[in-house]
Amino acid sequence: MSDTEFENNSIFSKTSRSEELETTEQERANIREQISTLSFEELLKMKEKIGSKLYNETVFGVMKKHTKQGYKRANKNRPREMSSKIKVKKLKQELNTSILTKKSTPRDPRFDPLCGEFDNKTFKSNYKFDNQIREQQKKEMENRKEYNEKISIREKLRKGEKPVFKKKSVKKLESLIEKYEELKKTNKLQKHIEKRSKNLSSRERTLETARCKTIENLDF
Amino acid sequence: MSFFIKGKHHNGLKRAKYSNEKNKRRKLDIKSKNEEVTSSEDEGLDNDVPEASSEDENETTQEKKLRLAKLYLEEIEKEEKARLESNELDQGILTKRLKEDYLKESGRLRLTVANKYKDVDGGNVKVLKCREHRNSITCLCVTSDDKYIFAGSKDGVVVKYSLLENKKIGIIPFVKQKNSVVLGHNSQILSVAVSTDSKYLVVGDESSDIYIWDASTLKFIKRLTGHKKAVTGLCFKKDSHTLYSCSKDRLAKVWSLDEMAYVETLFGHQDNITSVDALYRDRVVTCGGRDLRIWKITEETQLIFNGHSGNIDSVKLINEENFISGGDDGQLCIWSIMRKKPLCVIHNAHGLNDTNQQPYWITAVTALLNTDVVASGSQDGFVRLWKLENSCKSISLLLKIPVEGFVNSLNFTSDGSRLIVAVSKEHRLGRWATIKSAKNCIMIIPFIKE
Repeated sequence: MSDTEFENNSIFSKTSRSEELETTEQERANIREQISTLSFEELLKMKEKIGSKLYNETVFGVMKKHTKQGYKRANKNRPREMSSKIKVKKLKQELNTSILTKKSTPRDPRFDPLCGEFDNKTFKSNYKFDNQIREQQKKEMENRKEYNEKISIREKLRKGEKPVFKKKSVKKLESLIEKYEELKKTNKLQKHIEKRSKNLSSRERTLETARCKTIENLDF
Repeated sequence: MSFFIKGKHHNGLKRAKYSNEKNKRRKLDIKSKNEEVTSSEDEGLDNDVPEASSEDENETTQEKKLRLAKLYLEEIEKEEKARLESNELDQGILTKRLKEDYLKESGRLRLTVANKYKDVDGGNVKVLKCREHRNSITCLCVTSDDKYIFAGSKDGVVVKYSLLENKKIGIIPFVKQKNSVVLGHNSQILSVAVSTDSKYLVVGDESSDIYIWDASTLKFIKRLTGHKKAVTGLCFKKDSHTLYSCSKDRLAKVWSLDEMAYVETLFGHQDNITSVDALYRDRVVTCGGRDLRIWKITEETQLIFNGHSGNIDSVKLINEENFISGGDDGQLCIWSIMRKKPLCVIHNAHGLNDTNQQPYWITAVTALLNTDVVASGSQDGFVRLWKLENSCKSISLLLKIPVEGFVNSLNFTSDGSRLIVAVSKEHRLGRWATIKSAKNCIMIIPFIKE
C-alpha cells in the first residue's frame, strides 16, 4: 500500500477529530492489517511523516475523547480557547497586498530620479555582459550554412574568380536531402513520412470540397 | 542524591507531577462537577487527586512510602547542612525547605527576592568575546547547572563558553557546503536551547532544520526536518527531552528527543512566531504577530491573549501562571494565564528614540524563575531590572545596567546572582539599524545582593 493511499485514509487525515471517533474498531483492524504488510523501513518513514502522536493513536487506539463542543470560558475576562489542530488559512489581507495584485507603473530610467545620474563608467561596467552575448551570437552565425555560402561568394568575387550560384531548385533539393539525413539519424523518418502523407491527403480533401463549392456557386 | 530531590516517587515509579494520566483523571473529576472545561485545570492546582490502592496492598505501599519519605528527609538534611555549612539544623529550616520543594513541584512557588538586589557589581563584569563571532550574536542559553553558555550568531557559528573560567571551550563551525557528514551549520543561527540534564544542545537556523548536538562533546547527533522556514525559537520542557520549536512558517512543533522523532504540530498563529518558552508543565507559550498563545499540548487546544499594539518579539514564563512579553511597540506586558489582557503594561519601557520619537523596541526579556524579578533589554543602552509587586499586578524599576548595543538575549543564572547578556551591533532578526560603537560580545553581570 503506498504512502498516498494511507494519507487519503480518514484516520490519518489531520483535519477533523470528530471523524476519528466515528471510525469503528473494524476500520482500525483493517488498517492494522494493511500496516502489517509494510516493511519496517516504510513504517518508520510513514511514522516520521505523519508524526509519532498520530501514528501511535491509530495503531494503539485513541485514549480519550477529543471533541469539545464549543470551548466555553468561565467569564469573559478569560482568554478564548481554540483547537490547535485546525490549519490556519492564509489571511485575505495578505493575499490582497501580495505581489499578485501589484501592478508596476512603467518607469523610464532617463527621467526617474530614483535611477540616479548617468555615469558612463558604471553603465559600461554594468552592461559588460551584453558584449559577451554579442560575441556568442556572432559565433553561432558563423555556423550557419547560408551565411557561409554568402561569404564564400564574396571571397571569390574579391579574388576575381567566377562564383558558383546554385539554382533555387538545387538548393531545395539539397535542403530536403539534409533534412532526410537528419531524420534518418534520429530514427524519426517513418513518423515524418506518415505525417506528410496525412497532411497531403487532408489538403487534397479540402481542395476538393472547395472546388465542389465553387462549381455549385456558379450561376448558369 | 538528586535522584530523590527532583521528583517524588509513587509506588516506585517516577512520575512527573503534570503527567498525562494525572491530567486526565483530574479533568474527568472536574468535568463531572461542572460543564466548563477550559481554564479549570489552571484553577485546579489545589486538587491533588490521590491514587487509589486496594486494601491488600495498603500495608506494603504505605511502608514503602514511609521509607521513601524518610530517605528524602535525610537527603534534604544533608543538602541543607552542606549549604549552610553547619552540623546542626534547626527544625524550621527543614520544614521551610520541604514547603519550598512542594510549592516548586506544584508550580506555586513565589519567592520575593527583588529587594535583595542592591546594585550591579560594576567592577566584576566579565566580557566574553571570540574571533568566530564577528557578526551579531543572536541567541544564548545557559545550562541549568550554570557551568556553560552556548551562544549562536549570524556567522552560523555556535560557541561554548565556560562560566566558571570565563573563556571559550568549543565551537560548532560554519560549513558552507552540505555534505553527507554534518560538521556545522550553513546559515545564520537563530535559536539555541540546552536540555535540563545538559545532554542535548539543539540549534535552529535559517535553513529550517533543527540540529541536535551532544552538549558536552559538540558532536553531531541528528538533524530534524519538518519546518518550512527559519526556526526562530527552541525550548525544552524542563526535566525532560521534549523539544518545542517555532518558526517563521507560523507553526510550532513538538519533538521527542528520546525517540529523535517529530510528535505533532500546533496550528494557530497567523504571523511569524518569534519566541517560545515552557516550564515543567505541558504548557507552551509562543508569541508572534500581535498575539500570544498558550498551547495545552495534551488537550490539543490553545488560549489566545491579545494586548500589544505592535509585533511581540519575545516572551518568557515567570512561573507556571504568569509570563512577560516585550514587543516592538516598546511595551512590556505582564500576563496571567487567567486573563486575556495583560495584568500590567509599561509603555515605552526603554524610552523614546531621539531621532524619530518612536519607542525603542524591546528586543529581549527574561525572568528569574518563580521570583518577582524580570529583566528587559533594548537598544537604548540600558538593561532594566524590574520588580513585580502585588502578585504581578504592578511593576517598578529596580536597576538600570548600562550596556551598549542591541541586547539580543538575556538569561539569569539559576540562582539569580548573575545576568548574562548577549550584546550586538544589530537586531537579531535583521539589520534595521547598526550601533557601530557596540561590540558583539557576551556580558556576564554579577549583582551585589544583601
